[in-house]
Amino acid sequence: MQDRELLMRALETAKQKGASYADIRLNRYLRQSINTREKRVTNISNSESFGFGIRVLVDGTWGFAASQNVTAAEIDRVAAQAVAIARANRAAQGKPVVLAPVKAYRDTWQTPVMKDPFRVPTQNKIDLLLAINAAALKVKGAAFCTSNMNFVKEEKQFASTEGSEIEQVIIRQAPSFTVTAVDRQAGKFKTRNSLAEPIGAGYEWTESYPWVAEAEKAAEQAVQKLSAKSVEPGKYDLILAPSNLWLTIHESVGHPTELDRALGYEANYAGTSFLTTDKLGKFKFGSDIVNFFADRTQPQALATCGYDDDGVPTHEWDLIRNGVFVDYQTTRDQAAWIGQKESHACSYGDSWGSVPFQRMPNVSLRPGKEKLTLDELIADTKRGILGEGRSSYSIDQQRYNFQFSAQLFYEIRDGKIAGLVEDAAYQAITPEFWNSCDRICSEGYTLGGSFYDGKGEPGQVNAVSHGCAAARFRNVNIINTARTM
Amino acid sequence: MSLTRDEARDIIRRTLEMAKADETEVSIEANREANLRYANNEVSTSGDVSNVVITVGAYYGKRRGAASINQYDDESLRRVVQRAQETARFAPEDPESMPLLGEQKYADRSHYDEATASAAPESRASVARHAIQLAKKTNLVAAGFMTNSGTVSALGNSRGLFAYDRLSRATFSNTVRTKEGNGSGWAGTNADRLDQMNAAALVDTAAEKAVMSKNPRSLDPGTYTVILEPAAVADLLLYFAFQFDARSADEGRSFFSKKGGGTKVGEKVLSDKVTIWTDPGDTRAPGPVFAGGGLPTSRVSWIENGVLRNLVYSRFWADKMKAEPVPSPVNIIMKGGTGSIADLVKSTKNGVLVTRLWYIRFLDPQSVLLTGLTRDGVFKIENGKIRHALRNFRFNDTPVSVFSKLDAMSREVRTRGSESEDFSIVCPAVRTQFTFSSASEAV
Repeated sequence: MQDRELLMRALETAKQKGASYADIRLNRYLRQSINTREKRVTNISNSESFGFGIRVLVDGTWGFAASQNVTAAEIDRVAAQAVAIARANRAAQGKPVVLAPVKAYRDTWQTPVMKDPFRVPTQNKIDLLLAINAAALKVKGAAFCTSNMNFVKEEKQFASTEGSEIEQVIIRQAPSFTVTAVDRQAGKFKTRNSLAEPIGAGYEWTESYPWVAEAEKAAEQAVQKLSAKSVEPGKYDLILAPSNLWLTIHESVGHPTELDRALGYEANYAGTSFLTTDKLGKFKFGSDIVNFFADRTQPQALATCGYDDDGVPTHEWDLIRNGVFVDYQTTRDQAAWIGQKESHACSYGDSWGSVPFQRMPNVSLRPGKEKLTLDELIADTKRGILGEGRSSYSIDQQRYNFQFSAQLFYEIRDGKIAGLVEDAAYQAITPEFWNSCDRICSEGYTLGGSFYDGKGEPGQVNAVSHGCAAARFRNVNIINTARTM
Repeated sequence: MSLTRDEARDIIRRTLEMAKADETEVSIEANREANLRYANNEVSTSGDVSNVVITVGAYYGKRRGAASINQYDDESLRRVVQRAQETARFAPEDPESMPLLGEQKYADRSHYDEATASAAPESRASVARHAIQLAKKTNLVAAGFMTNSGTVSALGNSRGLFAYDRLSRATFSNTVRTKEGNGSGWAGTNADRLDQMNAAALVDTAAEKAVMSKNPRSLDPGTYTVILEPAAVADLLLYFAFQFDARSADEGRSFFSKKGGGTKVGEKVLSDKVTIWTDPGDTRAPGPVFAGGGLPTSRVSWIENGVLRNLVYSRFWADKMKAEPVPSPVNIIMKGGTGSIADLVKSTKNGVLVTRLWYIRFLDPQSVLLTGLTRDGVFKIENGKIRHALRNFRFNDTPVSVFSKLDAMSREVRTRGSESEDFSIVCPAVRTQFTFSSASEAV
């Protein structure tokens, strides 16, 4: 039986069993992972996962079931199971689910790539990874280097009882490395990770990134970190480079603007949000220069696609405008909760076997309007700290209190970089932090992102990017985390 | 999806017959998991998902590659075998490659429960209904999640090894909040049989804590006498156990590295009250009979009266260091005391009770220094009684200090942490010195 016939059979069976709405995703996921350490390839693996998930609404209650056995008989069984689950749950349903309207689309979409990573010979990738390790290990004092590449290709077919039939191919990759410097006599070690971030692009991006030069520099910096001075704790003006700031945006802006969190639907796991619905349109989240937008359309961003898993076309909208909180991230079954007529296309399930729900789109900080480079911002700072690269990150379940570290912290004295400092972390309360933002660079907008943003029960991962230029925050609490055992 | 021993053996046999590499290993993981989630006093998402993943490892001398697929018709098996073989041919020789294991002897035990693996949707819906009704009646807001599942793991290779195991699992956790959002309580656990789990009692505990945690007062950050409930201990224990790798210790990049070289095995690293081990045969948290590569699992002592006894050795590292291979822990058990958490509270003059921890991340792997937050119930204890609720805290502290400074423990119980929800852990509540570094307004 052809795929399309199977899709239509699932929808027809669900309707016959009593579903008022049904959709099916028939998806294939290809993944490749290559890991190396020093001169060795420690792992090469390729995986393929194929299956379907059927989602139904019965009397306003969701049901979902899925299987890897893609046959007509199994489609029938799973469609009936999804309806049976919805029926069993009906008695515990509060208000019935209402879906925001969407047109029927028959369309295809694909991540624009020049080189499909799954067609690039494995040998090329191994050669590059071992070259990274060799460059790092040439540096005196660098003891270990691990490097890896992860590639994902999602081939997705979606069909709904409302007439949509959408095919998409989405490609993402996450190359990285870590250098470790060890001082055995002192019993100390330090690491420095690559500042490269996962990206929704073809292998041409990996070929163009200056891996070998960064590996050598990273190794030198790992060694320098062994003897860098411990930070003097206190209040500093903090400048965050995009390689660090993206994760702070993810945690302190991306998560609290998820509507399901704000309304309590993640209370048992990821948590709720301090951005409750009564604050919409009023709350001063950040200073006047702070503007955040959400989208799933930016080229090379990880959450970018043509349609979400509800079949809604993707678009861009504002979350924070001139410092004021103005909108949430939504799906079709959430829009009505805040009186909106359309979904913002944030529905995503991380596998054929995962129920789609609201996941974070790309959330990005608009560059500053005044012309400003990072060098000029540093020159404008008397006593400060500059953070580069993601490191330890932790934030509470309502997204108030956060504490983040960096791969590299530099002390700034009188407008100049005065060297590396160690053991630092910045700790702040989200709205206080964003209200202390006094300058945002106009130059150097860069995407950072995560392959593994976790949410939901059962846990699902989402890949998402955050764009920004460097920004400065005044009088931020810098703590010293050193602890000797 | 449940596979019998014979069905699993048949898939492995068919796959090995197609293989042309020098040596081939085939593993199968077949899983069926059903779940139900509720929040805001109504059901939200649910599901019933079956999957079978077949992974093939192909070996040409010291070259190896792996590929997996989730279909097991002949064409799919042929494709995954070819993919693994092509990958292996591309791979450079791995000097650390070890020969596959031959036939092994495994413990003859199974805690698998079919009723748990295949429970009907109504059994999950009834728990949700009970929790939601109770919350509505008491003007609270309930959120929770439950699963029941069955997993078959099988492994075979061209040297005649065959291993098969089945595990069933039930999980439940719930968070109850006050309508005003000024109080929140949590309770949850994992079990290997549905009939070992008392979901109604967990609902009651979360509701009680939600009410008790209303109108919290502030307490200055600092170091306090703190009782960490088992869910909080579980997370610290797991982060500590993540460090049990002998190779990292020998390479000088672990808490267990000795200054000047070598590991701390044989050294006292924690309070002499602390004993930690792994035991897959412990019925409170049963583990699989085999680990990666088909190595049989058995009881391993990690910490005995505060002294480090063992570390994890891969087969390669064991060979190099002339040690026995030791698989990564399949469960973690920490010996407790004899009383309850209530007894610990009763014997505490001035302290803080912490329900669980949240968003824990490494600050420094060298000292196992972690940061994270308290969540869903923090209380002030005065003269053996819980006096009032406290606001949440961020902590910057290390399990090494927590388990060195502990002075009392409750009896150990099966539990689950926030960062370790799937890991099988049995541990006590502990009373220790714990450092809160900043306050959090979050409820």
